[in-house]
Amino acid sequence: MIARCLPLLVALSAVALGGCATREFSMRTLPAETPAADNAAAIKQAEQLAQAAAQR
Amino acid sequence: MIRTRLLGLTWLLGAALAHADDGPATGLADPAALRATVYGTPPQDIAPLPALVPLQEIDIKLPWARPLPAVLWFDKRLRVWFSAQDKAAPLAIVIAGTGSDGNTAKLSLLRATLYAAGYHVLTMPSPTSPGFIAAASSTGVAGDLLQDSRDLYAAAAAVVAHLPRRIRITAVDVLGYSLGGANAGVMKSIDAGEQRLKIRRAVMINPPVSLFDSMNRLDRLFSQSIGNGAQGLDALYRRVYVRLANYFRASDQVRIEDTNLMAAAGAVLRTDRDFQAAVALTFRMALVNVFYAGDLYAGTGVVTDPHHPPQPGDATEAVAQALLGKTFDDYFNQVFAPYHLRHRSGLTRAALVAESRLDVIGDAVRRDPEYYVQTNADDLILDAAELQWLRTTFAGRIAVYDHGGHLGNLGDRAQIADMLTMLAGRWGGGAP
Repeated sequence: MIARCLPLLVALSAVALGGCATREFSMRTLPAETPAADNAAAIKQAEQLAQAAAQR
Repeated sequence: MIRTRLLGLTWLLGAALAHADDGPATGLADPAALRATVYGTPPQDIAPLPALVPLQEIDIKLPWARPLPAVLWFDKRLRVWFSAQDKAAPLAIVIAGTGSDGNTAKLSLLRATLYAAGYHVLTMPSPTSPGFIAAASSTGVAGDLLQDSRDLYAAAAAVVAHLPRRIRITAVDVLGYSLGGANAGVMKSIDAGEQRLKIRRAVMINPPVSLFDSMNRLDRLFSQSIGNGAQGLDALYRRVYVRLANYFRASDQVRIEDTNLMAAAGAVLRTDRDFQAAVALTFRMALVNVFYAGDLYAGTGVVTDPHHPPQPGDATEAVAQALLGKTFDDYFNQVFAPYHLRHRSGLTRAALVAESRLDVIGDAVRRDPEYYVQTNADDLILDAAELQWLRTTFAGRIAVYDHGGHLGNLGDRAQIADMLTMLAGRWGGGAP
């Protein structure tokens, strides 16, 4: 049963992951970006750098 | 040797210059404008950003691309990036600045704010980026504002036509920063005739007014702050490298990560001349790619032999050395103008320069109120006359900020709020 369903599952996964893919056009899903967290980390780092500079 | 050194230097200055894409004039002598251009918007001043932005990478083959030179084998298809809303929404097409691909830090920032405001977002490379030249340029010789924008427009239309049907687009807006801003404006003017995208509004962020005047300023900036060609770069490398080595010794750090590199760059760039050098070098590095590809496609034989074109795996040392000594003026006179004068009968050099001014869309801008500009009073790529031209031509549709240099305020709260107001058609006209 599993062996029979496998090709179908593979095909469905390919469609889901690849979106539409031809030799001319393909779409590939990337990990979502996390801009709020990235900027929060940048703010924290800037504060640490400022503190380190003040202590020097 | 030069290549290795250059790589290190570019790595360092590139980290500091993650916020600079195009180069100089009014603010060149202004220390604050130079520093804003290099450092960009402080993270604490960035506009509110969403937690998550979905992202897809799209590769598309475009039928009008020139036959691919063997050495550029890896760039057969144009790569763009797309973030889709899960409901019907307007599409914002965003164009990168000089030499940049379609997924830079600046594009990522604009993508996040536009996505949070409810747009599908398609980010595209500059027509002066190597990937675009190889996969989507109809000439291979970048720098012609009209032709480059035509290629960009056709590429954007092809991508939109291929998007899955589940993505419902209610309207199309176009925006871009630096040279990409000028491209965005020209794309809208092309669309007024072709109507393939039905572009509603265009927002140009820190656009140049005259490409070649800006280039000449960059050449002067390079020779003043760095010197000439490879020798000047070598001297700059030595100057910065000594400081960088001392910085790492004093701070007892050996980890070379992007964030540490930013701190290092901040520590080693001290004088106005250092900052000018950083700006000039960034643009010169973009020119290296444009020059190489242009010479290859045009067959002008300046740094490549048209009878024995370079192959993958060939040594690039000599070509890299030669390119380092090349100025924007050299590109215009040795590659760009010869190619275009040969392919378009009746064309003159003066006409070629005039065609690459933003006033090629002057009439369209005067007829159609849906063109907008955001710029800075101290933008390095504008002189006073060009800034005045923008104020006059876009009267009532322009925001001029007092400070920010070139793109040094991209992403800050006021810039993003004004950009979204312009895109929504609610701009009431700030101080001209």
